[in-house]
Parts: sequence; C-alpha cells; structure tokens
Amino acid sequence: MQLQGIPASAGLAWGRALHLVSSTRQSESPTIPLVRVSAELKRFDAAVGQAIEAIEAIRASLLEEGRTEEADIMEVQLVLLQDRELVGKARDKILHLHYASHAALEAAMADVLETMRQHSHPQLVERAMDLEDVVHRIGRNLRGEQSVLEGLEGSETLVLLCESLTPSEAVLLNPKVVAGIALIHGSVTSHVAIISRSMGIPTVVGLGPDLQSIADGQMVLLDGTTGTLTVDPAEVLGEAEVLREAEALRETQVPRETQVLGEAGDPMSTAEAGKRQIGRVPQLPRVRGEGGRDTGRQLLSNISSCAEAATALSEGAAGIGLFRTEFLFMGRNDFPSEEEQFATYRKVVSTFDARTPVIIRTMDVGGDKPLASLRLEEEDNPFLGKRGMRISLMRQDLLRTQLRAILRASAYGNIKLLFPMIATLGEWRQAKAIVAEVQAALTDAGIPYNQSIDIGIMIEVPSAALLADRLAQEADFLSIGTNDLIQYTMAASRNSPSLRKLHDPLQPAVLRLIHQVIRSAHSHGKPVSLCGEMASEMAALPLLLGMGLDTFSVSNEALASVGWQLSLLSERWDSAQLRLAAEAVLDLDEASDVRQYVQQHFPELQQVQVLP
Amino acid sequence: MKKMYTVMNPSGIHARPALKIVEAASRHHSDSYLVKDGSRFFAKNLINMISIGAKYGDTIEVVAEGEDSLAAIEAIGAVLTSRH
Repeated sequence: MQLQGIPASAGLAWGRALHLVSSTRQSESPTIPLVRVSAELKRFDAAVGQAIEAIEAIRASLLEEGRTEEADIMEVQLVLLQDRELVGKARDKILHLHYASHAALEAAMADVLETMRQHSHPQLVERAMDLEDVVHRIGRNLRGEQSVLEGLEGSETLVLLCESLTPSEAVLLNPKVVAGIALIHGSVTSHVAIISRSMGIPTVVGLGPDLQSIADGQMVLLDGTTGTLTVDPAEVLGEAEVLREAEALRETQVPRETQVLGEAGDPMSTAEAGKRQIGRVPQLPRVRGEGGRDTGRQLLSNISSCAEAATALSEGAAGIGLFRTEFLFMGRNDFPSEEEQFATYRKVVSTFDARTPVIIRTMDVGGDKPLASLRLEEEDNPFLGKRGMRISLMRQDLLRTQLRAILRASAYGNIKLLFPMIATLGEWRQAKAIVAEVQAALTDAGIPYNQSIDIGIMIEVPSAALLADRLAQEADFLSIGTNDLIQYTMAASRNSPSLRKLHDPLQPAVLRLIHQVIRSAHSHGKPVSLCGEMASEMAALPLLLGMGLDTFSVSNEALASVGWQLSLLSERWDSAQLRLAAEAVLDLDEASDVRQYVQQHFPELQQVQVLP
Repeated sequence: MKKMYTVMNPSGIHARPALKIVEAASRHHSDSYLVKDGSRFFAKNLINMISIGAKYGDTIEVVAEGEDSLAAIEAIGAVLTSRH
C-alpha cells in the first residue's frame, strides 16, 4: 500500500509504524462504559501517583538548595493530593458515576472550589491556584502528554503515525528514535512541520484517514521529499528498489555538526536534502540587482533555538529575520525566567557580529501552539482567539519579563524587537508604551541596553495589513507573516489539506494585500520583511522582488535554494521588468493564473524543485 | 460546644498538621470549625485548614455542633497542641 500526502520535511525515513494517540483526542467523552471502570480507576491512581512522585522530587531538590519556602508550597500540593476531598471525590465519581478520569477530576475540583466559596476567606484565593496546579498536573499525566513521547526509546527507529501533533508534543520528540512523522491532517506551514524541519525529521502531512489502517509494527518507508508513505515497501516496490532506497539512506547518514538535537542516525537532514536537490551550492551568493549592484535586499533566517542560529550563520544567512521565542516556553510546566531568556537571546545575538540584524519576536503562543503553563481555557476557534500579542497584553508580567531579557541582550548586538498578532493601532501603542516603561526601569537600574532599538510590527492580521500606512508611520519596520495572513485573508485554515487551493500565497487577494503593505511602508521610508513560508515559494520570489520587498526570511533549509533563486532572478531581470510582472499579476483572476504567468515569464525557475 | 487551644507546633499549622486536622474532623459526624481572629474555618476542608495561617503560640477556638462534638473537638485539639 502506498499513500500520498503533502511533503512537509524532506528526507527518507525507514522504520516500524507506531500510532500515537493524540492527547487532545482522549479527552472527548466525559463518561466511560461500566467494563472500563476498574481500569479507569487504575489509570487515575497511576496519574495521581505520578503527580505525587513528581512533586516530591521537586520538593526534595528545593530543600537541597535550601529553598524552604518554595518547598513548603510543594508540600501544600502534596497534601492536597492526599486529601479525601479532591482525589477521593474524583475516585467516587469514576466508581459510581462512571465518569472518565478527566471529567471526574474537573467535577471534584469544582466541588472543592464551591466549598471554598461557601467558607470564603481571602487567604483561599492563592490556595485555589495550588489546587488548579495539581489538578492540571494530574490532567497532564492522564493525557500522557509527556510520558508517551519521552518514553519512546529502543533500538529500532520508529515512524510515528498520528492524527495531528501539538507543537508542545513535537518539541519533546527524540530524533534518535523518531525517524519520521506521518500525519493524517496538517499542512506544510503548520508549526509541527516547522518544528520537524528544524529537527531534521522527515515528515509528511495530510495523508488522510487511510493512515489508520496501518498496524503498529509494520515496516514503512516515508519519503518526506515526495510525500509518499509506503507500507511493507518490499511488496510494493520490489526488493531491489527497497535496497536502493536503503542504500541512498545509508549514504546520507552523515552526522550533523551544527544541530544539537540530531546526532548520527537520522536518515537525512533537510539541509542536506535541499543542497542535493539544487546540486550543492557552495556559498550563498549575494542578492544583486542590475549591473551586479547590491540591491540592499537581504536574505535572513527563521530560527527557534541557539543551535539553529549557528546553522544560519554557517549556511550564510545575513542575519535572523525571525526568532520564534515561544519555543522557549513550550514543553515545560513553568515559565522561563528573565535570566534564562536573557542567556538564550544573548547567545543567539552573540553568534553574529554586532551589525548583523537579529529580529526577536515576543512570545506567540495560542492558536495551534497552546501553552500548558498558561492554563488558558479551550476556545472554539483558537486561531481567532487569544494568541500572540493578545496574550502578552493580558499577561503583562510575562511580557515585561521577556522584554527585559530582550532589551538586556540588545547591548550585545543588533537586536530588533517584533510584536506578533497586532490588529489595532491601540495594541501597538500599548505594546510600545510597555517597552518604554521597561526601558526606563533598566535605565534607572543602570543596566545597559540599546536605547535606539528598532521595534517592528508583524503584519499577519488583515486589519493590520489594511492599516499598514498608519502602523508604518509609528513603527521602525514591518514584517509580513504570510502563514497567518493568508489563512485570515482567505478564511481557509492552513491545517486543512482540502483547502490548499485557497490557502495559496499566489491568491491575487493575498498578493494585493502584500503589495499594499509594502507600498504603504515604503511611502513612510520603512523597510518590509517577509518571514512566512511564502518567502521560500519559488513562484512567489519574482513577484516579491518586483513589489520591492526588502528582506526575505526563510528556514535554514531553504536558505541555499532561495538565495540561489534570488540572485538568479536579480541577474537576469532588471527591477523594472520585475515590477511590471508584480503589477501584472495583481489583475489576474486565480492563483493558477498567477502560477502560469510566472512559469511563462520566468521559465528558469522551473529547473529547480520547490522545497517546502 | 467549644474549646480553646494554643498551637504548639513550632512551625505553626502548615500543610501536614492541616491534613491531620481534616482527617480528625472527618472521622466525626459533627461539623467542626476553627475560629481565629474572628474568622471561622471549616475543619473538614483541607484548603480551609491550610489557609488559617496559624503560628506557634496562636490561640484557636475549636467549635463543633452535633452528637460527637466533644470527641471531634478533642481530636482536633490533640493535633493543635501536638509539637509536630
């Protein structure tokens, strides 16, 4: 059997299939059938036991460090777990009412909170937080959010099959064990795809429900470059071909030096794959305009970690166009401290020389990047809910901590600050005012920072795109995040494979919006960068050049091929020709017409395979 | 029925003693309360007990109503006057 999906992270993966039941799926039914009651009780007790162990371990290490006050807080949580009221009531609900563990736990917590309200004292408020904390810990244990993934080990490599994967699950994957990822849903631009690319794990998304029919333990061959998944490849392809594939696999098993996560043993790094496809580009050529003159256009890299910053440098990026800081916050139960963040930001900016731009975006969680530690309630439509700057403005404590860390790091290089998900002028002004307050506090404390730091706005909400002229007046630069801008403009989820035609960067409406943003910013003399995956869409490159986009920011894997294309385009066509093309497509009817236009006018682009 | 006790645990009523009070109170039918500085705290609820914030030497009144109220009060009193 062979399934076709959408290639999301290049490379070959060969291993045993393993279905991963997504944590979000298990929490659907609030009740269980009678036959499962005793098993459910065991599951619940195990989750409580795990929570007790975890808290005891935290408490022990706190005591060791002499942090007795914090240890006492953990002690409170420990006795809460031993209290009949919470755990006992939850067990009763499973036993007598056949509640599922998570529902029983929620109900028991509600009861306890109700009792607290009846006997209300101001001191109880902080206790409620302890209660929520332990309940969430048990809930996480029940969902197996961490254990399932952390427990994956063994001598054989695995290809994970799952419906979808949350980013916080994805960051916990061990690339030594997980050779590949195959998803029923998902799209190339989903964050899971971004994470798997950065970890170098071959990934195919949108394989459809047929994926369910594959049994655990079957050998599968996943090709993240072509998007195919072959079950029992010996039967379908013939032994010779499997051997050849396996041979190709062995050849590419080169240990990577620059990435922390992947050690020898992963099938193929995406960077390798990208280079192979375009016939090894030894050095990233400068982007040049007519007459070989430097156009001033820059090719930067999108990163999520210090390791990726080092890779960006070795791959020849002119800087960092987008540092996604949310990955510092994910896969953990607490928030990173100012010192921890400062150390990371400083390390990233110190990777480059003092003039190289490093654009740091404040935490952009929410949407498809939920954060366990924030404990936000679930929303019907998370992409239209609390995410990005909206959360930062609600949790200003977190924002201020992050801003202090970023500003302190700005003393060590050319850091620029970027705010995500701005939708109104008010949000932007509020964010900027908070920056000013944090700056003033740093000045008072005598802590050095770059006082003239550039502050930019992410244009990803259509309202911000329509207000680009107003925003550009006040900001130092704009950065277009096309992944979200496209899905919000076209009202088509980027995670829905069947809507790929709508979620297309070449949709004339999207191109018009981007054109308008660039023009508005330039009319105020402000530069515009584009850091969505559109910047590595080959057919979009001549159009973006023609619109006058100043900075392209792409993943490390795409740096070489995009750099090669940009310099090819700039050498063959002068800016007037490119501008003409960019303006011509704005009046076309469909994305397919735009694609055809680009193919006709820029045939050289066709020689190169597009890397996702 | 009510009785006064002085907290004898050097670290006050922290998490462990709070749990013991809840256990002692829950073994009895009577509902019992601890009164400190004019505030009443329900003794069968752990979060209430943890929230009392009583220190060594604080005076606490234990109130109970019902058949076994005396036994309930004395069981709780034993925890309050225990040194650990």
